[in-house]
Amino acid sequence: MKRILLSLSVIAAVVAIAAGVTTAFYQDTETSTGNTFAAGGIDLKVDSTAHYNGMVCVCPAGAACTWQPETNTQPPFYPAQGSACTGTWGQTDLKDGIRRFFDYKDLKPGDHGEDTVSLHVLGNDAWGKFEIANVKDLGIICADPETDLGTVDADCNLQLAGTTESDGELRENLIFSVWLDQGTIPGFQNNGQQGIVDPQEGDNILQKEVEPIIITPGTIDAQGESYLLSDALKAVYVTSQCTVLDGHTNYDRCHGIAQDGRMVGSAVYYFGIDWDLPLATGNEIQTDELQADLIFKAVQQRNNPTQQF
Amino acid sequence: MIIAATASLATVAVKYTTALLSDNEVSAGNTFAAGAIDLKIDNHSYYNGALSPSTTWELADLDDGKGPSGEGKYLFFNFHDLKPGDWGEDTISVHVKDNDAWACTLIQLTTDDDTSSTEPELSDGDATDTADLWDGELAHNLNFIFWADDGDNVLEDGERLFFNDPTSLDDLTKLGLAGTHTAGLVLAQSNYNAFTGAANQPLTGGQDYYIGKAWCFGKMTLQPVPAGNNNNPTINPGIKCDGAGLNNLTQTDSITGNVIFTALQSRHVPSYRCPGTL
Repeated sequence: MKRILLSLSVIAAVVAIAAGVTTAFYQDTETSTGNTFAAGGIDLKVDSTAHYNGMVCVCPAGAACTWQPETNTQPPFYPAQGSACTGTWGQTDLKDGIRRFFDYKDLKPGDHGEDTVSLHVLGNDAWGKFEIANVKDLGIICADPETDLGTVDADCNLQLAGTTESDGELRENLIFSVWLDQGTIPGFQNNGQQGIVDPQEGDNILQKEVEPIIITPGTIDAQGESYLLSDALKAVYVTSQCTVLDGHTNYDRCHGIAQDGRMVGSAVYYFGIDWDLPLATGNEIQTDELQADLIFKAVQQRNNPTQQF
Repeated sequence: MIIAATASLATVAVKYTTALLSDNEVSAGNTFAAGAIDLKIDNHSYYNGALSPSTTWELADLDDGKGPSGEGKYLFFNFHDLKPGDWGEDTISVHVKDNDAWACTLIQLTTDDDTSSTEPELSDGDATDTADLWDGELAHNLNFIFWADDGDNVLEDGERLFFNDPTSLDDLTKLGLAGTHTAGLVLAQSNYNAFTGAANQPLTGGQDYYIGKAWCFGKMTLQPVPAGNNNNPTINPGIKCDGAGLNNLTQTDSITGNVIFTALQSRHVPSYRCPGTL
């Protein structure tokens, strides 16, 4: 070991001498410093605010998230005021299985809710995609009212209460829709980044006249669903009469709304996801459970005209 | 070793050529689960101060075919040889699984029939039996009281009565607001909770509620016993039954009927009235 080290140091010394010799020539040096190839970033961040039956999930700094009544909500409250909630969080990467927009265990006909999702593409323009996957429509067990003949529940009718139910009915009854919560001023001013404030932007209230519904109300397909956000944003470019092709308006009118439907880097996009279990829904949904993954994808827009994700 | 290294370099290269800069965010396992409103009933029944096994059962759905009466039925009344002065006491417990609910009871008579004419009946002045299913005298002479019980099958001081005085089944069902020959009893509706008297108070999910019910074939008087832990319907049910005033008119008369309990989610239903009640 020692010997090898020694021989290495000998070689190093030789090289150093050689270098010393070359400095004897005339010379001039021109330096171009700081040449850089750096990859840009496409970093997608998601935040969420959950609303349920006129309650909002609030997370004060340093305290646990709880349900609190929104303005104009009258008791009785459900969910109970002050009870724990999980659907609200600040800008973050979603860690699989940790962040859930929806985690509701005791739905009743007449329940409705809304989740305001904001997407931040940090750094660069990107194509966006929204997917619903791994849809499971579980029946769990036949609750006694599901077994009654008057209930439309084929795999529970005339079964004993408590029998395993293979096929749930919640998927067939829960109605979802998505709208672009862009507020009164088209595009995303992002709370006065450059002085323009749009209080209706990201307020989780659907302003029908100015906020386009980008996924019309309906149930979730059993095999999942997939949406290119560019389809919706392209349409909004037209309906909102935007004029800046690439959607970069420095947080002025139409910021984030490009002609080709790309997501503009560093703009924050607000989407409202609305859900509703109609009051007319019957006993067939009792103890049923609907599960799904929600996936947001962003991929670079430059050099990628065909939207390869 | 060298080959393996080359191979792994190659995969890296392939990966880079297909990948554009991208980021995916997955929110896995979003869940919507529906709750349940599942009503279960149990009944503890005493006939003339003795436990009546054929009308007693533990918490059950009443349509599961496992009841203690014939054919697996659950019957609150299954008494075929009543005599004046007979009495009974039942404590029904109502349990709404999981969720708050409004709840109502209907007592629906299907017949009050004189099934045949016995000699003593006729000699006491009864009309001869006809095909009429409502020519009996039993409903007129069976008197009832209902109260919010603490679960011991005994009417005690301070237990809230569903209505003030013992009332005959005939009178209870005569008004017919909830349907022909049908009496409606409120357990909890939006303006009244029979267990507390409060408004806007549905039954709490997962809690047992006890309805005390006493009947007397004859004249019933209420003699509530002092509240306490050792009360027992086989010793003193808190009511007295006197059949002395009755004659033979009711012989071989028969009443049949249905007792129906319903529960309805109270969430999103702020205003609810039980059928046939004010």
